[in-house]
Amino acid sequence: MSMLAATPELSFTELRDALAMTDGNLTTHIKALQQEGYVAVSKSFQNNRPLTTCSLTAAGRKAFTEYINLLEKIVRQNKPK
Amino acid sequence: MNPNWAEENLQTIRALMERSALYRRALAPIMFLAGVLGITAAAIGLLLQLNSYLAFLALWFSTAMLAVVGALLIARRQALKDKEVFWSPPTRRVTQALLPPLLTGMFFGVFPAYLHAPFEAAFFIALAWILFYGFALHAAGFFMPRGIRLFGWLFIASACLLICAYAAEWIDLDNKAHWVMGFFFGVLHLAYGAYLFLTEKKNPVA
Repeated sequence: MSMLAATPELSFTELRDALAMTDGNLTTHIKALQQEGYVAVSKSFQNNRPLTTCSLTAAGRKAFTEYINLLEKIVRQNKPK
Repeated sequence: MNPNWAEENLQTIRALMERSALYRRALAPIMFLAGVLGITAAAIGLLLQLNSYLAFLALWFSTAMLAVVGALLIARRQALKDKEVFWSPPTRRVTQALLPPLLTGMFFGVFPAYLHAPFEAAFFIALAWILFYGFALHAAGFFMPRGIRLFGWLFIASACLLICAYAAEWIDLDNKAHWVMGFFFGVLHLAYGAYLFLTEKKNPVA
């Protein structure tokens, strides 16, 4: 999610390589996020080869921002004084 | 887990997200607007033969003001459409980066007016403005995509080349201040806007 939040879209291969995940594992994660409406998946062709690209939806961005806010709050609370 | 490590990671994620949000915020229409205003101002200057330093200053200051107001309105509209905060930390950072070079450029423009500078001085002021605008874009580019920094470099390098070419008497640009301004602030913005428009991805829908 943080990778997708930082860029308009990423290809399936880019995500898989960056996260060091298997195809099946990444597909499962993306499907789960897609079902929640957080990630949009589009399929196209590049150089006659299928290209799957993933991007964050507005709902996904909002949810992820809230999640980051929450994490920051937790880190602030646990910061040694 | 080390809280500093977590904090740093979260800050990195937030910075990347904010940078991405700025990029999505309609840079292309802003560039188009600046380009159209630049070309229109140059056309007005040439057609009405505004060949005095004060008229040159008034025309291009008004154009700059219109461009700034228009850019803010477009960015605000886009932010409202995307349900994002308009005056967000990245917007503030970009504004802070833009201000010093732009204000310095403005000072360089106003100062000759007090000295009753002739219209010939307008060409040098146009070069100074191109240079300072390049500095401003380059500074803002640290909080925006790399393309903006490259665009800034284009202005800086072009201004330096023009100064060298003029000093070496390779080109004669006396009384062509409106042409120079129209090209750099009109045509180049339009070209960059067209490039962004053609390469920008549309907002995805789930």
